[in-house]
Amino acid sequence: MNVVQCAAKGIRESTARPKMVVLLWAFNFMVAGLIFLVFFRAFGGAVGTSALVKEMAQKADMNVVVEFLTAGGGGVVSELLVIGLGLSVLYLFVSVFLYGGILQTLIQKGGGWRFAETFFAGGGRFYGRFFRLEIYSLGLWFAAGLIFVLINSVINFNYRDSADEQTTFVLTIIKILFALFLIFLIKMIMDYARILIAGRDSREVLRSLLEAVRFVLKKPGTTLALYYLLGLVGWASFLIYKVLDSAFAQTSPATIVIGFLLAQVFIASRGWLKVAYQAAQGRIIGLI
Amino acid sequence: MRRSVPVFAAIFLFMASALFAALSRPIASYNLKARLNPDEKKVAGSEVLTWLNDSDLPVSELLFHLYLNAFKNSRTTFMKESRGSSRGFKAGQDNWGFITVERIRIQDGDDLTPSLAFLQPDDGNADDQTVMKVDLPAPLPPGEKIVVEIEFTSKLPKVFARSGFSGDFFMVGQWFPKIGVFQSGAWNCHQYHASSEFFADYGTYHVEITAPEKFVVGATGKRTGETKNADGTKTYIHDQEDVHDFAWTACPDFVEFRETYVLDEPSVKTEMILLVHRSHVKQKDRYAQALRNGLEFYSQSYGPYPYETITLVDPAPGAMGAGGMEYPTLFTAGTSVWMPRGVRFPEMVTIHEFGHGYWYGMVGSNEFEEAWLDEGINTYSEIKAMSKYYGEDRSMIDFAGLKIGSVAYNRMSVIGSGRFDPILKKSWEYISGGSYALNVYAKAGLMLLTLEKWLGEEVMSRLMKTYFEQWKFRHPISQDFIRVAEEVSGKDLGWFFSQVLHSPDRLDYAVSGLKAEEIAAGEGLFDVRTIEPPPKEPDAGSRPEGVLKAYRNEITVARYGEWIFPQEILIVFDDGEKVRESWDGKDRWTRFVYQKTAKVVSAEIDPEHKMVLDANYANNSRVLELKRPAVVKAALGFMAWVQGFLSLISF
Repeated sequence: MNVVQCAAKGIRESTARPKMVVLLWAFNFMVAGLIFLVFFRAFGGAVGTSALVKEMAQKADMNVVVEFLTAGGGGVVSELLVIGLGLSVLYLFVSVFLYGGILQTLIQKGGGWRFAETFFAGGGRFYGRFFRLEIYSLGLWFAAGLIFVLINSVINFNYRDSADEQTTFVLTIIKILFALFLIFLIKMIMDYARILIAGRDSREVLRSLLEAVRFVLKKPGTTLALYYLLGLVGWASFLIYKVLDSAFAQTSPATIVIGFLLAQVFIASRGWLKVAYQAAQGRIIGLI
Repeated sequence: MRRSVPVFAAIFLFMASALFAALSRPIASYNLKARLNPDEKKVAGSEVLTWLNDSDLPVSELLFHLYLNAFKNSRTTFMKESRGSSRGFKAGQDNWGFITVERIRIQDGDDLTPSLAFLQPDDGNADDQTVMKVDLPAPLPPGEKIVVEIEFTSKLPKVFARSGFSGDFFMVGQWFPKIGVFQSGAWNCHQYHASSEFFADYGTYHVEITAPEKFVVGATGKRTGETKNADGTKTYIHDQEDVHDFAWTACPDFVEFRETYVLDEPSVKTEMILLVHRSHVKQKDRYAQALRNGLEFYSQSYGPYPYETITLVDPAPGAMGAGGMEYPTLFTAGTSVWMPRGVRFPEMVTIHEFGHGYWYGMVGSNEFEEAWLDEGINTYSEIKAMSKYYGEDRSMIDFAGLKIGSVAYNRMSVIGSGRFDPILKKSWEYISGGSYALNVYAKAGLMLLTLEKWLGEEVMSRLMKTYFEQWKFRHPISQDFIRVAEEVSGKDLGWFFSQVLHSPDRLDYAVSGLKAEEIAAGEGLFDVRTIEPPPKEPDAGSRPEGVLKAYRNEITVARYGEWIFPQEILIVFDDGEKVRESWDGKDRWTRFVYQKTAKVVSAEIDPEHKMVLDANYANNSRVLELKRPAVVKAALGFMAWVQGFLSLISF
């Protein structure tokens, strides 16, 4: 199967599992829902009874944002950031569970179990292994960081007194793109390692990680092409969402709700894409 | 007939002297020669200083600033205060800067070099050599002039605080031994501090700058000569009267643009010289337009720009430490290759630094001791100019849907900050550089905006024009500004300035409570108004007949800050009625009570938004019910953003 076929297969597999997409969205919604409550209380408390916000439903007002950011000497925003950080960490733990569910569902086709049973059983079954994988992956992150620092130092040394700001600017963009490339590369390797663990029901986590690295290095063109092809699908869905979102003014309660629902559809599409990634990459490595 | 000749001659001389009279009284005039050695990053200089003892006392010693010595080592006062970094740049690594006085003597007279000593009038730091003293062999009587010759070498630091080099770019500021100001019977000659700029007397400058031919050179004043030398260098001669400093720049990568700027009312004609680094040439038009805007705004608002030239210097990439600095008739701006049109940093810096030509250049404010007189007044002027030319709500940023005006931008730094210092303090006595900046720039600027809204735009406009007119080419202090403000407005403004200038406290008035409680039909009094405290006699004027719903409406306003300002309160009822109340603002709170058939909908203190310095706009108004759709919309928007973020980090 070539890359395009694998991507198409992954998308088909994902599309055929609406329950899983809804479940992934629901987890995201539940965690983020907490931040809604916190923000509602903080924002309402800081500026909600001020006449200043009366136009906020019509258009964003920087003055209100400034007042909110500085409310309580910035304490309100600090509190919000701390809670946001805590929820992000929580969600990372949750996502380790979700990967187990996704892969178990994709691997165990049929089998008589209901979807929920399969998903949650997979989440629990692979949680420990995937969690260990996250810890082992710190080695990859460290190596990637080292490569980046090295290249960054070489560039900075050679252009330390450059008066050619155009070149410096382009180099900065290249450095950012390179950093993103490294981040995505590790994420991709992690995907393959999880697929290897789940596909073989292997307990050899470190070995699976190294095998995933070998696989990616052996087939860099295929794996990267598949990863970025599906990435394009993600960007396309984001652009569609942005176009639709900006197509109508969200000023009345009804349009505000429609805008919110649209955002939820987009978030669900992220879950759909996540499943598609696992299915397509599982297909490339021959385990799904 | 013959007798009329001397009369005409006298009239002619009088008119000519009026026409060509210097704008300032020349106290310190310089004849400087500078030779740039770009390889060694040095300037070999000679100076002939003519100094007038303008005081009533004989002077027996001369004090000079040697500003570049601030960068001589890690133990200077500047380095200790800045912890070795300024404007995002780090000092050190063999890039120190200094100035060495090789010889100083009275012209055709005594050598003063043996008496040379360093003083540390501000902090006694023996490692600081930024103030030099020489003893005169005999006291200089009042009204007498002295001519002093100095040989010196300036080693420029890597661009650090305003001055220095970066590659082939040289910004040569604070580069020569500069005499202090003899004022009120003593020398006003402070050390170079991390959080302070400069102070000097006016005079005439004649400067000859020699640099390798490939360099494009720009400098204070008008170029009056240019000669090629046999050694591959070029000498540029610049002359300027009525200035108190001289700076110059050299870089082979400058692209020079010249344009004659003409304004009819008031009459202004000056040559705009833009030295734009080749990396930023595409942004030349932004600089030029901002400079035109600055020339127009300041000339029309305060007084015509009087000099024949104005030079804008765009620092080389990597040399932004030299950017955003003012010198007479020359200033440095700053930008980068990628600067979206809606991010108006180059425009703001251009207008701000040009504006210093008025409040530091022409009005000779002492930036060591009362920096707000320059930075604060100039921030106020900059806000006005930026709002006029780029839109009040988007003058700073209008990019990707984000709009921030100059007032909001400055308020952000003031209202979110700690309150350790007042606006008026010696520049090096603030708790930190950040406190200095927010007080003398943003807070002082907003103070004047508040004053403008208090007095009215027309009165404020006259005030500023009068202050400029009275104090140009002189050295004002804060009290002079206050005196002009009181004279022009005809009001006692002591209460205003004594709080805002001298106290680190804050201004924060609020509508702290709003209630509308239904009272039994027919009970109580309708359409009456009471105020607590003190309670007022009810006005029994109107008692509606029939059964009506009635409400006891309570509006409580409070003073959360220490500053006391008289306030107005606008109260709106659900039948459309609007009531204005006044409050002297002295108590910590007061309450207005209405028993009416109408329900209060909202209340707003300072409805005209005069209190730009108010630390919290949000609590200035209150509505009876939570603005749920707006809050929900904001919360949902934030939640969607968090959802996207979560899905991204877990992907």
